[in-house]
Amino acid sequence: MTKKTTNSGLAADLRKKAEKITREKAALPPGNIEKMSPAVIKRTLQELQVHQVELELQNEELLRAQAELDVAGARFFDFYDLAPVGYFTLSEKGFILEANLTAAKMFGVARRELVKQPLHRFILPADMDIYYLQHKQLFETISAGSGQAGETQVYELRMVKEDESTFWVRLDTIAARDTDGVPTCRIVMSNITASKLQEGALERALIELAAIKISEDIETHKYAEGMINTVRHPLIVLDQDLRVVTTSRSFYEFFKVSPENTVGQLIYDLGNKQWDIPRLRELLETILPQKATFDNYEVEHDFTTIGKRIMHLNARQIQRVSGKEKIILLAIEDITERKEQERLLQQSENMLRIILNSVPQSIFWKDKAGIYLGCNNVMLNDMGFDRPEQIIGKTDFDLPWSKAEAEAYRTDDAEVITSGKPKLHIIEPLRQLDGRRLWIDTSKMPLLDGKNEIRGVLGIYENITERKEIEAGLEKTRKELADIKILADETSEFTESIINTVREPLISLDQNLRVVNASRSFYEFFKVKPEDTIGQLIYDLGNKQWNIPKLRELLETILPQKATFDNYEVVHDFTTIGKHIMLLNARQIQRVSGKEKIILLAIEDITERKEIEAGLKKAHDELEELTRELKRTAKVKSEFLANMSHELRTPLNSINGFSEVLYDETFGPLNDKQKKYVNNVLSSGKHLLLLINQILDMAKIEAGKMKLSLSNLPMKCLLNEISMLVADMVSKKKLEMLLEISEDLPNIEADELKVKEIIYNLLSNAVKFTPEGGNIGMQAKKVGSAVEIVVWDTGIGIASENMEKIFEGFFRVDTPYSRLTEGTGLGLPLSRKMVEMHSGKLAVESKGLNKGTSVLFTLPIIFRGSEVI
Amino acid sequence: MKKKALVVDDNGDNLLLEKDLLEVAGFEVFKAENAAHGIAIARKEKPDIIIMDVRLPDMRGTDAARILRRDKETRDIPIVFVTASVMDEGKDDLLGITNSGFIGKPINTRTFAQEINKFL
Repeated sequence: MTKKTTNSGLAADLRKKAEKITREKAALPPGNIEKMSPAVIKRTLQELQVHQVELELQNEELLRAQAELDVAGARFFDFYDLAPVGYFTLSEKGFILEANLTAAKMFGVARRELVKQPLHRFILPADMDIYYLQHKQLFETISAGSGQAGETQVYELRMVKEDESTFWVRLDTIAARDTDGVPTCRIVMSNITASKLQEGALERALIELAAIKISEDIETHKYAEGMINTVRHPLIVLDQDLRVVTTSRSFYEFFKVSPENTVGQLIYDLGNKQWDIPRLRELLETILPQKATFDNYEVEHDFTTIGKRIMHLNARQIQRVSGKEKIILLAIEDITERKEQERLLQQSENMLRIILNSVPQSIFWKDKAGIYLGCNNVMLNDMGFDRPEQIIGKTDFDLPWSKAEAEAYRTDDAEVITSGKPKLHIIEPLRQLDGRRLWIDTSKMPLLDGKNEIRGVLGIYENITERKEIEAGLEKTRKELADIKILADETSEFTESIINTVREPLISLDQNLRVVNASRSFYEFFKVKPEDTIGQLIYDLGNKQWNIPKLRELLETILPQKATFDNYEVVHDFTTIGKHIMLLNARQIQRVSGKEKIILLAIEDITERKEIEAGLKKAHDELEELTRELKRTAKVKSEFLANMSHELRTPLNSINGFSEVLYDETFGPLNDKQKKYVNNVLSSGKHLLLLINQILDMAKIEAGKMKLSLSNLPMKCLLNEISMLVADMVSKKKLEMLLEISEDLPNIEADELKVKEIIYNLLSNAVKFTPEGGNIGMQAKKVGSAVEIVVWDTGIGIASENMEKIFEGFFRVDTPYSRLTEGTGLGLPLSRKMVEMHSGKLAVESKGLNKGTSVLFTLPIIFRGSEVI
Repeated sequence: MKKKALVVDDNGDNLLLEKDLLEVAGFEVFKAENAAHGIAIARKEKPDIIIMDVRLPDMRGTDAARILRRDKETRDIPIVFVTASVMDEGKDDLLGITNSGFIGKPINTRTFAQEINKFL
């Protein structure tokens, strides 16, 4: 840049020099060059030549300077583009004319997309005002100013990137006219987001510091606190972030919170977030910023600790003297009880009105001066009036009866007021509005106030002349009224049809709990008639059977609060239909046509369901008891069997032992008959012993006391070995035995003695139950992870009806081929138990009587636990 | 000289049967019907073998065996328990007695003497 200045300076000097030269020569009149002396011309030429050389030299220098300038320019552009700040030029209308790379990067767009774009596209809408104002002022500085560059303006605002993230920038702006005189503005843009964040933190720190300062300001603090604590209502002071600065003692007492859990907390977080009340948020965040003060803002909230409360909130937003922060004073007035009292009062007034209007007698009351203070609807109807004002405020003399009648009434009134005693059954005439005369039975009594002082007269009368007629008329009116009411309700027909289509009993009540409608099922279930139901107070239904405390609770306490209630269980003993358990579902519905509400009450009878449930529970308990008993019995049984087995063995030892010694003729020879008899004793003894052993084994298995002693069994050998044991019996009975033992039959892991016993039992059964000349056989092969053994015969078979019995024990097919001594009936069940102990399966098949039997059982190759229960 | 055998059993019939079988096999047999008597004979006669029932009226046969094992004189006499209690839990009790064996009732009269001889 300096170089350029120097060069242009040089060029100017040269130009001046040339001009000077020509000017000097121009002292001569122009156009008269021919008049110039050749010497002058020659000199001038010479000078011009010298000047030309100088100019050429200068030109060369200029070219070099230009090249240098180009390099510098390129360098400048690099710098321009890579500068750490954004740089761009704006037109007066706010369009970007050019921008460096950094600016484009800051906006998150390509440079070419930036050019010709309005800058405000990138400005956060909230900060748009700042930009427009500053931009306008900027251009005012040049239009008003010298025409050269205006004043520099610096301002901060937030920009929005292409990806919609925002960032803080500082804009250093200056406006100037470009070479064509068009005003533009050059802007340097620096990202200051980080420092802004720090600024925010700093600001917060300052606020905290101020808060500390304030709390240190003991005098004002004490004053404020004193004030806060003298206020009876709970009071809470919040800072502008809605954090608790201080609260009154009454606040802690009322809300049952401690100061350490309160001060410094966000108000919504108090008491475990119990204070996060939508209405409070609305007050603090929406209303208060607009109004700065708010009175009697009613908030209802159900606090976990102190229950449901209705509160009046009074809030003031106060500018603190010491700083620019604001504090919020929030006074909380608990109006729950007042509300409750109001409600109760309203309720009792309503109740009184209901009572007054539902008694069939006419009722009126007058003050001491004889002025009517009030009357019930019956009296109005009776008199032919339609508005209470037609009676209230008037005396007897203003009403249609004669002077004599009026005076008679006043005399009675005076008597009651002075004596303080009631006057009963005054039979007297009464003139109606239309002139008709009635006979009425009046009772008058003193009207007392809360302090038991006489304030006037209360009168009740009954029309006795046309009692029946009036009653009928009254009933008619009431019915008509009810009909009209129902008709007026557009939805009535619709609801009625709904009510009648619902299976469970359903009634609808008006807000005075009188029955508007009931479903057919209701009448059927509760055995009541529509004429005794419609228009009645629900509690009065069925001769006051419906006066159920739980129902009262539901209708009078729960429903007004919740508007809907499901599965409210009520147990009641109805005189007509007995004890029932019911689930009540209630809905309070605003009527479309009016402001009254109706209550829909669905009654689900769950008596039977409950009974079934109870029955189920009982059955379940009994079953459990039975299971326990059965288990105990099974244990006792197996212990008994074990003992029995011991006790039986002892005598058997003698029986078998001595008969064996005799049979062996150890102590001398026996004759043939003796020998045969003693052999009978011996074989019976041995049979008995077998029985005992098998019973004992069964008992052991059932008691879980039978243990397996596992070993590797060579099945092929073992099967052949057992078949040898029965070979003698087979040949004796002239049977054919067929063995089909697969070559690849593997060894198995099992209890040797038990496997032998199983096979022996099955083979000996086959022999026993097959007649002479028949066939028996055994097949064995590997099937999957087990060996499968089938023992079959062509014997007597098993009738299908006996298939189950054969496993019950001691069951034996009665047959001419088996003698009593030849079996115990325990062999098969015991075999199956022993198979199951090895986790195998045993099944018996027979096509029927005399069609043979086959028993199939499996034993796993690898033992994997017992399956005996 | 004949081998001496002591049979202890509260059942007279069993006692007689076992005595006969052992005498046939060439033993000199002493009998006792309860444990105390059996222990007294064992100490006096010092038999070559004792055949003992497990359920005895005054104590269990195993308890009598323990008493005998404590006595130097009778410590080494082999004891064969002959019992009708064949449930497994009864057997554990027998295992604790050294130099003893087990034969279940009813006995096999044809092999009884041979089995006894195995313990000598």
